[in-house]
Amino acid sequence: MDASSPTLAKIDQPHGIRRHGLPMGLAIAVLLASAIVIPQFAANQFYLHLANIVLINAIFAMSLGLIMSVGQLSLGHAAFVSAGGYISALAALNFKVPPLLGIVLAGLTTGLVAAALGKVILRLRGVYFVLVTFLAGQVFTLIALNWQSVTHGANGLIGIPAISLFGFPLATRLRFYYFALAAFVLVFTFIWALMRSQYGRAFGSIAENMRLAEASGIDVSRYQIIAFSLGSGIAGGAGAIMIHYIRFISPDSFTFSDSIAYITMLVVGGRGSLVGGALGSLFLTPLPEALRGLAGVQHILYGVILLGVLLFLPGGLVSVGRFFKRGLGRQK
Amino acid sequence: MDYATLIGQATLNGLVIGAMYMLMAVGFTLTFGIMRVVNFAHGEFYMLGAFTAFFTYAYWEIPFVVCLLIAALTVGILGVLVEGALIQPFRDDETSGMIATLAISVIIQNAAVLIWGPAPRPMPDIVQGTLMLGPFSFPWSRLVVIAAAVLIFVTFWLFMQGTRTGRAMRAVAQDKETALIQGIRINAIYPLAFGMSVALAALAGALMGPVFSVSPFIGLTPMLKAFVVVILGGLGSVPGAVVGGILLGLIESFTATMFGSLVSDILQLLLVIMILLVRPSGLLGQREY
Amino acid sequence: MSALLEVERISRRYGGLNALKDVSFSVREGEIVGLIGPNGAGKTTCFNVVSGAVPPSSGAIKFKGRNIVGRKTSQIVHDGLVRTFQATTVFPASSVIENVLRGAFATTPVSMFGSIINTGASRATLAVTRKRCEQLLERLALSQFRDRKASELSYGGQRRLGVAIALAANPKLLLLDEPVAGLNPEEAADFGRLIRELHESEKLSVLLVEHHMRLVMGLCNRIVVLDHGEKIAEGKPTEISVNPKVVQAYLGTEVVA
Repeated sequence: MDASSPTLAKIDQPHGIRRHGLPMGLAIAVLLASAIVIPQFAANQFYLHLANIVLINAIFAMSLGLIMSVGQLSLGHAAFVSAGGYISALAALNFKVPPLLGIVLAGLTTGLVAAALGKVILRLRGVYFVLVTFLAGQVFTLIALNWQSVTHGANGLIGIPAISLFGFPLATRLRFYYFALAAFVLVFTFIWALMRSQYGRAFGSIAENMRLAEASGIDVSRYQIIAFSLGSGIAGGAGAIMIHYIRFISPDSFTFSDSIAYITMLVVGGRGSLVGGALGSLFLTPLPEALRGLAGVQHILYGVILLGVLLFLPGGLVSVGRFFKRGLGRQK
Repeated sequence: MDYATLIGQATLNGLVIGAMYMLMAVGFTLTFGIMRVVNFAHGEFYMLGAFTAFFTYAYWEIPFVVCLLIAALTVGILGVLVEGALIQPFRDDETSGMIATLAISVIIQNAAVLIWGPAPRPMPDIVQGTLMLGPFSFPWSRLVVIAAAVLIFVTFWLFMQGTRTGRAMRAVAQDKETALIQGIRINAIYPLAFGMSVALAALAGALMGPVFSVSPFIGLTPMLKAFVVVILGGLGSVPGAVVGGILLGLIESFTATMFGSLVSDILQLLLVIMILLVRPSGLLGQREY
Repeated sequence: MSALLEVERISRRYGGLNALKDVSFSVREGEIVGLIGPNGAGKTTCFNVVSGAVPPSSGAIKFKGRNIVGRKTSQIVHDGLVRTFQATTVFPASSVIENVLRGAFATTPVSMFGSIINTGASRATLAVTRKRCEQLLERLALSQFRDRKASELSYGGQRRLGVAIALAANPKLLLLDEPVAGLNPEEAADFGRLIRELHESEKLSVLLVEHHMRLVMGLCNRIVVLDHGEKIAEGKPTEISVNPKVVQAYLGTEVVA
């Protein structure tokens, strides 16, 4: 793929974190502390719900960013989210599998499916990959709709149990909030560590110059499959988390337009940064709520924002922060 | 129901949708071949073509041939404008270009819902009556679609082979650098190619309007099939799009008659994956890079 | 001296066209071999086939006695056969040192899992690699640019970086694809010296595809000449420059110096 598009792996600049060590660490600590403490005081149910969706959507967008960090665009991301949701829901409803285990199961299964699919399609680089992920997503929706005996078709599955921790059900929004926050932090840390490692180095090489990466002894298809599988597996796991919160899933829960929504979040937040996906979710998830009176305009606005960011702010919102930081640095 | 009727029906239906897939895929593969742009809004231009035909034909009762011309022209011009404003900026960045067309697709589709509402609208047939050939009976309305699609493709083919602009487009598709050296103006070719590509989609939409019905959501399936076709036929290959389109139409029609449309759709994806395993660049395509 | 690389009767057809026909040659350990020929002689095809980027239609390629046809490029690199690219090829948006670290990917023996949780062992291994890469930069006069983006380097600088990336993979045999094309005479001469130095200090074997006759004649122990996809001559530079077949192939195109 082209070298000009920013990728996640480029955040792996040597010494990057260490150089900003203290202030960065402090900022993270403050952010995390306020994320933990604030909901205790301002327990508005609506905002809590929104915060929960923001966190899970952030995981979706970040996992998509992981796939994009090797230069691949997946248009089937929502299908993996949905597949994860169905796996855990069906396991819980039919076999009484505890949701926590179901979530792990969903993540593993979707990750493996992605690896298998990736083995087939990642030999086809770039465009073919995009087209096949798109087709695979559509076929998944078709199956979910038509496999009545298992998925109950368009009616979906109801009565999905809430996650329970040590016999303590996370059935309120506040309780789930802490679970979602923990999941978010876990995924964030994992991807951050991955990008800092030799994997990140391989991913970045592939995204920037595939031929040179191969000539440097980096097994391009292997790392592309790893990124696709990890990203899709995380999406599947997070999809399971989501449906144990919503307590319902149907083929319409996660569709192609959700795949586009995740892409929008990632691009708007910033493709080149792990924070980008989270930031994009933070900005775009509440948007439909703010536009309640204007049903229909919402999607158009999503599209317009996406185009606008692509055209005028290719680095996404994250790059605004960087821009200011550089400006400040110059003034010193 | 006897087999002859069934087979005749399936073949005719296969050829009708195959003709549509062919037009869709030729347009889709054209933008990729010339501009290296994957146009995810291709189906929305199909939808716009269908709506144009709907309003001009069902409301204003203009002769259908003129309706087709209007659809091709309006959507084609829209395509030229869209290319210049929203796709050109991403010329060197395939991924961003793809995402941009996704955004365009979202905007067009939802604007259509906002303006025309989500409900499907039926459209009257262009012609009445059936052609009887032995045990087979073919509705003229379907035969006209096939004939029109063939005519449109032949016109397109003659344009590509016979005119200066068409030759320039082929030159760009073959080797951009050399074409540039020969003085071909890419900045004129690209919007034109994009406009032509989406005009083909609009024509397909206008032709299919009377066969199916017209709604803001009708673009998705034909685009999906165009993807399948170009994967089968090879991205960027026009002959591949023609052969693949008709082949897919027939495969779909027959498998749907035998096993139902769901199995048919799943079989198609399996077919795609199998073909990609054996021939990663499609049946008639050339290897990339 | 044993043969490091043995190319045995390789052919490559594109459609009906024979881009390469029954070409055989070898590179022995510690040797610099030049691969020359007029435009369209099949040099680039030959290079791509030998480096594993393009499979041969027939024939065998043995590296260290082992057939490498059909092996993945990344595996061939692990074995010690490393190529550079004709056009300037770097990781443009990354720092110079990061470019070289990426080149050293195959020769950095960290466990991937250890690298994720950043164990002491993996940090130590990476520190060794980093040191080696810094030395490479030093050696190729790129140290002062270590934190610059690769795209900000001059043309010649990017060429040297390309070689540094290849050397970071610890090659036994380095395949150089027209390394001095587009460089000015002075830069080209510098480049020649550099290759000779590396050859002497690292016991590096080199297969060099090049147009630049002076460089090839001055540098190579042995030269293989291709014309129309076939080998027409092989020998020492002094023999090649007077070989009538070679002179004829080049007639009117270039003067064999």
